[in-house]
Amino acid sequence: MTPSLAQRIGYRTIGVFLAVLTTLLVLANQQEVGLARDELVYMSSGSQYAKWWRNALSGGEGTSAKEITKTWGGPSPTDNNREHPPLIKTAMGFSKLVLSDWFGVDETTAYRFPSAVLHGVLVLLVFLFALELFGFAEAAMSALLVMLLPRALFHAGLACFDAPIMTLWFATVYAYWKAIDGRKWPWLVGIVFGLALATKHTALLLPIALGVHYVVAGVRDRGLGFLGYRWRVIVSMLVLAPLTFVALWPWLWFDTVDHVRDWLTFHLTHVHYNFEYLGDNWNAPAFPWHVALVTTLFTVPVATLVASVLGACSWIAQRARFDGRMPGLLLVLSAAASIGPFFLGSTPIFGAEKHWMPALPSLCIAAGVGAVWAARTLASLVPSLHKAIAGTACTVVVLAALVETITAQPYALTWYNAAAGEAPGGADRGMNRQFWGVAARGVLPVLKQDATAKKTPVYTHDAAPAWGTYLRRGGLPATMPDAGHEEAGITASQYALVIHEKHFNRHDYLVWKLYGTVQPMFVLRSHGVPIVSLYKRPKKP
Amino acid sequence: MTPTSATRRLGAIPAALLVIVACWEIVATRCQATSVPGDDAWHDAAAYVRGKWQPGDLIVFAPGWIDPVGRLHLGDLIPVETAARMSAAKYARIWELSIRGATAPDVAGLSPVEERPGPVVVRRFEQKPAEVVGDLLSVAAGRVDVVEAGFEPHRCLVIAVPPARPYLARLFELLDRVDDQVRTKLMRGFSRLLPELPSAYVGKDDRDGKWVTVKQMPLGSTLAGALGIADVFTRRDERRDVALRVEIDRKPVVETVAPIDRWVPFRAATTAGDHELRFRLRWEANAGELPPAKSVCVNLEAWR
Repeated sequence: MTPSLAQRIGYRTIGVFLAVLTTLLVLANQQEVGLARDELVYMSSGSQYAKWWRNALSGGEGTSAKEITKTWGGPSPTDNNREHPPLIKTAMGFSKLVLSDWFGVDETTAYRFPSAVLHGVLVLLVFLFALELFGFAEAAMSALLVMLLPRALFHAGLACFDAPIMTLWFATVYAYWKAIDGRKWPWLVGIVFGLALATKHTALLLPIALGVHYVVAGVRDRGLGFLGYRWRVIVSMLVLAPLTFVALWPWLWFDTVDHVRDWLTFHLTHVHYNFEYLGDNWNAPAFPWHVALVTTLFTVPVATLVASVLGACSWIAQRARFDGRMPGLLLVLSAAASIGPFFLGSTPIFGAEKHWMPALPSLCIAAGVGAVWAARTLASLVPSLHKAIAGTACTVVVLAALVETITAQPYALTWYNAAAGEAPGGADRGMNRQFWGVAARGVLPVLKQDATAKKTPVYTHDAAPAWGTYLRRGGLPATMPDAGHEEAGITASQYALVIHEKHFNRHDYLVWKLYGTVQPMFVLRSHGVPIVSLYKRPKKP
Repeated sequence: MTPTSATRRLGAIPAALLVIVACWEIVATRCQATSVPGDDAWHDAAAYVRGKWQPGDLIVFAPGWIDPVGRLHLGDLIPVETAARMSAAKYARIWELSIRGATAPDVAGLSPVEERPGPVVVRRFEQKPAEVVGDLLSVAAGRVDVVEAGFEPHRCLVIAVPPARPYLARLFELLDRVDDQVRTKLMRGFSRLLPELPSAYVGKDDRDGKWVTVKQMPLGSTLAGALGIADVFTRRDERRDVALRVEIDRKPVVETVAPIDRWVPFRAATTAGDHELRFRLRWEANAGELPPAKSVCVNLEAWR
């Protein structure tokens, strides 16, 4: 039998190719994406952390509690961004050092590079997992459908933790699954889980999924002696994970219990930011139980969703082919642990899908399986056109995701899928328009065009944290500095921008009042939906 | 047909459904994403309105989310006071510019007297306008401002409303009876147990809510009003409703409640002439709580 093209290239090579392609796609896409409010904090902390490591590793000062505190902690819960674990920030800092300082890559891209690479790694891991379980077709489809998740692609292009934790969450799941094959030294799962913990606090939900899976698999294998099923995996996770976690976070090198408690307390008592959902502004529990469900249904390409349902059914039908490690159950539990807390009504919903993105690899693997099952089923009806029909069926599913992904960028937070009616449908339904002030970047060319030699301060609203960077990197002339906050800022300004979110309406009204006009000079839109209004102070009559 | 092929054909239904959905999504995504009219359509619609617009006309946009684009094209014809109106009742002519088949709440129940079809549909409505004979904002003392209430702009009387504390009523009676020196001592003593006491001990009239009185308010046949709690962040941190009671010549005519995030309109029948109008805004805090005063946006108009 003649080997197929894929076989000749090598499946794993194709997986790596898809990973690299994903990273490049993310890096290209983020060029058009403005700076998110939180990114600025992470970038600055990341550079600090990287500097500290360089100093410490070269034998310089810095490893005393006092010195560590200066870079990694402080008395307030958010000093030196100590409320978030450091792995990705540190990687960002080193990335900036190497790519930007040494090789001249632009600073923002350099900071965002680790997240982009990790998104590529996710695609590779999904590919490899599906390849082991099913075959090349399912693996390729699953990987492509992960790559073409519009919101995930957007988040992967930010210097934040949401895409990285999706990767490290799934990496832990995959490493665990590999580890329970009975190998003698399952060290990798402990280390990868440690990396996940060092990425984002949501990794703490992972043991729920893995624990339940371990018990079910253990009981099936050993009955009541289930604890001994793959006990080395437990040891690896209990020992190597915390060691890795602590090793990467110098802030935990002293007063460890107190610092871990502070970290967790911050997230358990996190303020509820404003978030629009189905027309209402939500900023306090009890949130509707269906937020995660509806948001997922509206932010994953429709064909991918349908394929995932078919894939789940197909998976159940052929469950006998899998060994006792029950990968289907593992993926379901992984998704449930990630998204489940958002059904409680008390978990903060302000980040929407980005907070439960670790559920998406499970969904996409199911979708890959479903799409290939559908393609083969249709192809079997006309054996003479088997390859053509199967290929076409898979292609249209991927094309649907591709069209959605292209449509979504660069304002993917405003985008909703075709079932929701895209961005205009999302606006009709009162779904959240955006957050983090990312869209402000879109009005910079208009401001720049209107600039004069005279100083004309700008009320920058939610883009205030990014304004200095926009000025520094040439997006704006120095004559357009940030005017300040709230009414004082508007009063001092000559231009004002308002980023449209329901709870930000009041900024429009403040501008109207202080400028004496309701007429903006420019309205930035994403597929017709207003995302930023730019006002210019009218000349005095 | 063999059972195998029958099963296969049955299985082909969901498989075909997936392909159909994917094909639909490819087309629908592009169609929906380009379904909002662009600036050319808005420019044409705005030019049409400008040609027929008269001073005093109200211009509204639907759906609400397209409002910034509408203001971009016609904002110069919309004074801030009009944008921050209490209601549309006092406008004889209303222009509605609408996309995607939406309708503005301001024209609910009205029939258009003129309609220009197009990507941006222009409709003109006419109504018998409410004639305002008395207006709280021009007679009441206090801060008149444009604020956000119910996520909408409203020009209104902005009133700071501290919480009522009925559980302190007896203590207040006691404090009222003693002289200043003793009261100061008692306050100091009690405030260790009740830290809210110093701020809660206010004049007798405001202990059971914040009262605003207009001694001579010209009234017509209808008193129309609305209220809402201003400032989304205050509303997040202090989520209790505010109750409103309106009295004319000391007789209650309206009792309503403003939950957080809502702009609550109300109406009452009145008799023409000058009357004393007063209203009370009230919410309660519990013992030991020290919430800030709520900023409440209130407007009242007397219609002939």
